[in-house]
Amino acid sequence: MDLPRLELLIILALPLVAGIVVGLMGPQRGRAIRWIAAATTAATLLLTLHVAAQFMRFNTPRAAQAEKRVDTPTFRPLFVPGAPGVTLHEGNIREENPHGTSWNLLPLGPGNIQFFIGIDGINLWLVVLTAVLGVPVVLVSWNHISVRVNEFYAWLLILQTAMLGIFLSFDIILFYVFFELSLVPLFFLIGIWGGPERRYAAGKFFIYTLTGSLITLLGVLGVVFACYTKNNNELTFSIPRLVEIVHARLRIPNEEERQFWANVQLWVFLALTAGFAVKVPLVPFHTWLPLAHVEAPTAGSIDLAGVLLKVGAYGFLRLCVPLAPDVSLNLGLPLVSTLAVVGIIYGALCAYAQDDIKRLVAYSSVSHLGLCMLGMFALNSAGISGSIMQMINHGLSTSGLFLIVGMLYERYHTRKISDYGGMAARLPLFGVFMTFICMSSIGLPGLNGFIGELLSLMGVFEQQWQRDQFPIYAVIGAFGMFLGAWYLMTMLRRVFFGPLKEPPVPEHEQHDPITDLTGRELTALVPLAILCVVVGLYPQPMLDTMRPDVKVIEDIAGNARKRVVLAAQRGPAVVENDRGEGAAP
Amino acid sequence: MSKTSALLPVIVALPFLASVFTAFFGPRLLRRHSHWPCILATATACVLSCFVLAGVVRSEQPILAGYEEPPPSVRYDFTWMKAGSVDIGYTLRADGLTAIMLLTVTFVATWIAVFSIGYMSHEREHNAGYARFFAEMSLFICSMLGLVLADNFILVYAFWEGVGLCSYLLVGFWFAKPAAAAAARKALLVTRLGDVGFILGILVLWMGFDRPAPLGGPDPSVLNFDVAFRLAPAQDPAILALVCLLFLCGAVGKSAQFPLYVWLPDAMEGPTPVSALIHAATMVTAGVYLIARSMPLFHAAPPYVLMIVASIGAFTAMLAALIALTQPDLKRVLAYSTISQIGYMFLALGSASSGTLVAAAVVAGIFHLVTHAFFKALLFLSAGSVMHAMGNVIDMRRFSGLRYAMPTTHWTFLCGAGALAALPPLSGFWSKDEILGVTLKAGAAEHYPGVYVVLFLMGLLTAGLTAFYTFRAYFKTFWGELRIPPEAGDHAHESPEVMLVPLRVLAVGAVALGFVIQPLTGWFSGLLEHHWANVSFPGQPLPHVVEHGHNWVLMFISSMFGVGGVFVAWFMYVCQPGLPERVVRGMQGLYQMSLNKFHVDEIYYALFAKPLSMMASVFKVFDQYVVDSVVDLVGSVPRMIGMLLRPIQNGLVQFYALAMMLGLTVFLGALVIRMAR
Amino acid sequence: MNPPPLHNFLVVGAILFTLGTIGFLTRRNLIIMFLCAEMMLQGVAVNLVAFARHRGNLQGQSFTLFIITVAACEAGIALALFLTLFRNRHSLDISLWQDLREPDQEPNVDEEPLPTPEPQKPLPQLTPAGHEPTQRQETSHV
Repeated sequence: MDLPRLELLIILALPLVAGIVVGLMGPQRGRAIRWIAAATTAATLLLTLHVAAQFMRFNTPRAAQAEKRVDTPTFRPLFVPGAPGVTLHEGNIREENPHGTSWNLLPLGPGNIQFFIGIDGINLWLVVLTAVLGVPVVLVSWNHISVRVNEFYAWLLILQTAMLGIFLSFDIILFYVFFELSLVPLFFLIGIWGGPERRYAAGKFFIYTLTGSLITLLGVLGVVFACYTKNNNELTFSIPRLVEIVHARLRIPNEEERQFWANVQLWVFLALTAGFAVKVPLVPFHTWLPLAHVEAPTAGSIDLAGVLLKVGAYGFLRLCVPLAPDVSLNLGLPLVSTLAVVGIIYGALCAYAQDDIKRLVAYSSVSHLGLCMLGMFALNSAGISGSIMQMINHGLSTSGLFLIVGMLYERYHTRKISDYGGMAARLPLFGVFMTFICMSSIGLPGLNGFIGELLSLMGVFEQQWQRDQFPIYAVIGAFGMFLGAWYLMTMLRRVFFGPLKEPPVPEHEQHDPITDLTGRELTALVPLAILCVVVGLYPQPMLDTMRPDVKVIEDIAGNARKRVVLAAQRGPAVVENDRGEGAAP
Repeated sequence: MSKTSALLPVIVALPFLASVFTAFFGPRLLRRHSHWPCILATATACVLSCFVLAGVVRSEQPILAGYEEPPPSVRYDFTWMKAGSVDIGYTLRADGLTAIMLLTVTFVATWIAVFSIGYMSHEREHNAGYARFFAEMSLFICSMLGLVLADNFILVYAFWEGVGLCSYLLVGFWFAKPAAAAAARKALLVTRLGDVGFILGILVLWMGFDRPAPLGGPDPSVLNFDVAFRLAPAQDPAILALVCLLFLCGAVGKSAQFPLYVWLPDAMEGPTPVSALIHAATMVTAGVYLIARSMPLFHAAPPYVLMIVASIGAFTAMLAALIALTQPDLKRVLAYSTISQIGYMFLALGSASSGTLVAAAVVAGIFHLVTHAFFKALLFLSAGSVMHAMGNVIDMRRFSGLRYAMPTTHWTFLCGAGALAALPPLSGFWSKDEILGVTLKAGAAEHYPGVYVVLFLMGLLTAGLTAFYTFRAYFKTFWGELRIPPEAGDHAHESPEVMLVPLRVLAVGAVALGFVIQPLTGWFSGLLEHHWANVSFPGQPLPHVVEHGHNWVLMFISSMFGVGGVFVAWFMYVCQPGLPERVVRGMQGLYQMSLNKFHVDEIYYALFAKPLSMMASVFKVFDQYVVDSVVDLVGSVPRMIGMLLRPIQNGLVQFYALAMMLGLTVFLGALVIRMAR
Repeated sequence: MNPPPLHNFLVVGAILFTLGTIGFLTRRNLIIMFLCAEMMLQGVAVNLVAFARHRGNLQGQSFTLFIITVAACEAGIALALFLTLFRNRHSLDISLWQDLREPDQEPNVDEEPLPTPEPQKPLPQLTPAGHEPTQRQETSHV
């Protein structure tokens, strides 16, 4: 097995192993546990970066191949461990077989559930984001967690594995397993080390998300079974293969087949959306988020906001749209776009009225991810690239916000805005970083937030303009940028500027004198800030690596558009050729 | 050629590097010398701008940087974002318009930075504050230079927002003052509202502009200026009108015109050099620059667009002048006068209603921009000098008679006031005269002549008001008996040399510059005509229309208005000191309205801010108690069902046995019925 | 003479079963309930034997033997259970045992309380041997 595949396996397994080891070490050995956790996350990060660098080398050949495959678009991940079928094309370009690997986990009838993980343009940067966020998460909990330390770090590391697994899996059941698996550590993290209402919050979060994902399971099984019945009884769980089958069957001009797939797509789309819509979160399924964020410890909030919310959007992109393209276009686009737009405005307005900083940031997540979903359902390259960039950039900036809020909470034990005032005079470095991160969050050009927001807006605008519709979504999205500035600047002014008002710290909770950012905290914050600037000024490498796989989805959507147009034009007796173009008899 | 194009990124990068250096190394390393990187960078940029100007003058085409292949087939050296139909690179351009803006910005900024050394001297004890000021100022200068150098709309937008950010940071420099923090937030939010319009305009431009047949369809590189201007005349007028109106929205926000001007007077909470730089000379002119740069689009749009631009300009000019008549705070008077003068610039640009007037209009607008930069910066710096001496008191009711206490400041202020009041032969006179001239010509042209005539009269009247309130401020501050507020302490003397040298330099500019570059040599209009107009309107030869014959009648009338205003001010404030109170008592209603800024702030608060905030509270409560309750309701369904089913477990054995028997009966009954069928 | 038709025996079995069911469900005394349960079993046994005779083989009867055996074992267990229950509450009333109900359910109480049994007169006792009687005179007349 060559190096990148081995590295992928290590990336997935290392946090799990380290988590188990740490968990067994007992709560007394706090120092050793923390250093092991920090070393593990740092090592995972380095390995991930190495894999990313290696992936970027293959970019141009993959782009060239994607150009050729407009009619048979599917995902083609690289670095799949387990000896997949490899075909050599001209120019020594290796092509991976989308059927999967030879590592079968569970034989089920004629097919297998495989351990099919891989990297492609869409999940590469999300995996990097997860790894990048692993380090600040460990650093910020250094002094904050003092009880049951071994369990805390164990759950944290297992959560890391689960999140990486979600993004890395290309087998639909494996995806689902990791999807559910990620709920468990977070449940414990919130429920044990959280705020006053942690039990309620953890329970609500768990059951709400679980309900959605159980419905998703139905959708998953539905699509697997539909492909099984329609495709010579070939039972496959591999996502690329399922996409291929769905797409191939949709091109068959048989009326009965079309009817069948129209029905199947509708239910599959609704079922898959149910789970992912709760995770994104789309309004009105968002009420678990403020509660979970407020009650979670800082590490839990960062993982939740930085990564787990992206899982929902990623699920939409990876599963919903490719497996139900026609319905995504007809029903999903207006539905999700409307919900997203409502979420942008509603989230921003709710954020303005909050008194708790963490709740404010939670609602701002609702607002930002609304824009992300808006861009995604524009279903064109600009929009989808913008959506993925928005996912990554939101991960970076919201994690920064939660880091700073967590550090403030560690010092003053309150998160209420009305308790604070003029803190920039007392804690100037805090003020600098908070202003910086807020600027990144509101989409100041030059920082990372702008890239995602602009590309999403442009994608949405393009999509509506080309349909000759009034670009209402883009207008509201742009207005959402104004609202974003409104509530964040208001929070900034109330907390950091103005006359100094320090909240009183109860005697028994004050351990050390209140200092500005310590070295450890700076180590957590500064890399995020640097990444914000770098991604804002030079996003092109990321956009280039995404391009072939974004093109896959764009081709799927494009073919769906052609089919929809034809279905509208078609009379009852038109014969279609293979490309889906109609000709009158 | 390539050497000059290599200068362009350097001009932008130098202040940025200075800013970063000052930010990181200022507090510890440079300490009291934190101003050096900023001043050196800006001065070097000024020198380099001269080279750029020379290069522009030498060549027929604009100087472009950052292109591997220039338009129309566009490929970039450095791509910023390229995804799908989006293709944006880091590209810069320099033509006549750019060169003028570069020189103005860098020159004025250098002298303002020098002035700040003296003004911010008491910040030097707090090393971090001093370094922070100069770091932010350098960043601002970098953004402004980038804005004028940018070659595509998204890059302009990026630097536009950058300028807004730096203005936020600088206005809120003394962040512990609640008024300053609030003013900074207000500035950012109001300009951001305009920016929403701007970005939507860019998006409409991007998608709405079609390539000519046979290619058809949108052109991904239409965001570059050259491509956009080339495609503009062939586009759908409705699209052009929409784009231009949305751009106007952004320009109105950034340049503080009606209805988005409310942030500028509040932004006077920042240090006075900040007000001089940002709110007089550079940032607020960004909107004017945008419209001037996009003049090909505005020209190709239906004529009512430019008429709207002109009307907004004239209306704002008059409104701001009316408010400035009664303000007691010297800086606020200057702030409103800025709004008013920029209104003039908009009026000038909006008078480009016909093809023959375009060049003249842009020349007039940009000329006024340049002269305004000098005399307004001068006025603000003089006010800063006064404030510094008076112990940070700037309320004119609390001091007077300072001409003997601060002679240099007095003379420089007088130069600036004269230029602002457009007294001949100071530079403000020539530029205002150009504006009124071109408006009058537009009043005789083909589109909306009546409107332009009305706007001309408004402009004329506002000129008189301008002279009046300017000299009202002058007389109240520098004439009368010597009164010094107690906060001054022992400060009440002339400012140190480091603050006076910039004042003198800018005074020379305010007095002489206008006359030299336009009426005397015609250099200014020649530069714009030959090195901007012919490039931006490709394929349409614009007739050489900037006549050098002057409209003597107009000059006489406008100077009469100016002198008349000065005379009235002199009469009311020097000859008859009791007259103002009597006038006020007579016109109490109008006076109160003017003093309260026509209650525009309160109207905005009642119409927009309060309802939005109330909606936010409603949504918050709605979310917490309604949406969440629905979720909890759904979650409590199993519990409800459980409560229905609980009574079955009542502990009685016979009850259980009965249940069994009943179940058995049902089952057997069903079986029997089934089998009977 | 014709053998009696099948349904006669089935009716007998059914009657036994029904009576047993009704008795099980209505009586309060543990022993009576148990006897009714046994009666239900006997009804089933009669049914089985009738069918065995009807069909002419011995399968039904052999299963009846099973049932009788099971009934016997059940009797042993049931009586042991009742003994324990009686030791606890000193009564064979089944309505005393409602402890396995849901926590917030009200216990079923009788609307008309059962008549309390008369307190028994204490039984006469003989003086133990070797002790002086406490009373000089006999009070009971046995």
